[in-house]
Amino acid sequence: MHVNRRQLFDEEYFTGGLSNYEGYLRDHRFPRVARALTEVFKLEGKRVLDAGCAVPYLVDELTRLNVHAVGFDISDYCVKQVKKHRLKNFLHADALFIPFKDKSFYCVIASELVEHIPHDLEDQLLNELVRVTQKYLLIRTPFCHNPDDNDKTHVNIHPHMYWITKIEQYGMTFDFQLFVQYARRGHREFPLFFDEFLVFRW
Amino acid sequence: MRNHLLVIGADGLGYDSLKMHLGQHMPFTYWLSTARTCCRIKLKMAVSPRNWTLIFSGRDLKWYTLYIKRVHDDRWRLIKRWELPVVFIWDEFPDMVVINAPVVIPPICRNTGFKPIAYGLGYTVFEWLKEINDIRYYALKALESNSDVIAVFTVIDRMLHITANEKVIRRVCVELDEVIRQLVATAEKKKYKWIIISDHGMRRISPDIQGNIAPRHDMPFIRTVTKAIHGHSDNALYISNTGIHVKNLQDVYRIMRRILSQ
Repeated sequence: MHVNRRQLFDEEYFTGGLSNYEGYLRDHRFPRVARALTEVFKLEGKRVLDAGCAVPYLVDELTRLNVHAVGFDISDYCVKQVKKHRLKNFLHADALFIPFKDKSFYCVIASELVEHIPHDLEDQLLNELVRVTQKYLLIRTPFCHNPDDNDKTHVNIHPHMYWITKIEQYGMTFDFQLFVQYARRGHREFPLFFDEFLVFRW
Repeated sequence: MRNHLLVIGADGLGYDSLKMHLGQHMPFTYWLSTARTCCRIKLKMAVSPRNWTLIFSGRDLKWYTLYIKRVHDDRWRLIKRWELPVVFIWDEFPDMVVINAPVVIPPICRNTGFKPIAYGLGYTVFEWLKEINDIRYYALKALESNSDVIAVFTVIDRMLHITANEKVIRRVCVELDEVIRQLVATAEKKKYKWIIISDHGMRRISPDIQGNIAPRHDMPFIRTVTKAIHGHSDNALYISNTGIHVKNLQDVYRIMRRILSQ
């Protein structure tokens, strides 16, 4: 069945109903996540892409830390929110056709993105994410179906070992040391929120 | 052309544990236990060193109940490989890739880049995940090159000894199940004979959630369980696509040998 993802992630999705969100709020943890990412992956002065960023709060926080961050999302609702909050460095784009050249970004962040893309399109998505990555690709996704998860758009959930094997097939390496370094800090500082990223590197 | 063999060892993943508890977190392994030949092996003794040695050598060393031996008063040391009077299957078939076979500590590795995690005695979630991930990487690599492979995960035993936290158990079991799925899928695609085998099961012995672990006073590089939440139970799991049923761990050794000798 054809799904229009521009409209799938609409106001109803973000404000309650289809997802786990009750409004996509600028949480106090965004600055802490931005700081942790910047320090662990040494992002200052580097180009960073937040793929499928929703409302680009993380991009905004990264920018304040001298990271050249850009975000994009397919959602029409997010475009309206960006205008409303006068946020910058945002594009309206589809993760299956990322509008940037090969290896454009030192670090690409895909937080809660891959589980939203149907299985038959996942290779196209991963190919795009890997293509624009120069050094690090960070993927955050649930490792199994959680009974408390109300998000009907979570259509492609797999254990982390699944994604690791997948990405390795594109030639990237899973960096366990950096995975642990970030996860330890995440568990301590902002549990259940950006606490674990699968870290891949060229 | 002879058959190739993949042996997946799962320390502590007993038949009863899979059927009654862990199967909910390991749907693929549970499904295998219903769709392929699966046996519950009743054990004489639920100890790892003796049982892994029996599985991989066919010899039952009744005295080998601990990986360590006393040298003086309360001073102990690790038992070395050369102190075991047995020929292991990888001695007979030296081209085999052996990953983390816990017949001694640290576990035996051959023809692989895998290095045992924390002497095969990991005790944090990250150490367990690292073991699962590293074994996945090296075992898949070995299967790609059409090698015979033995790969043993020690995480279930280590984890259940010190925790009953269902979130932790689910996290580790889900990832282990996925790696078993990848290994079995690759093996089936390449027409391998494969066996999943455990040395014993685990059963709850404490109502507490969290156990304790501490470095040994005489060997601080080794951490031992000082308060256990689960202990060993006397049933082992065997699943295979060989279609052959087994009654004891020695039968598993015979099957492996037969496949490799064909």
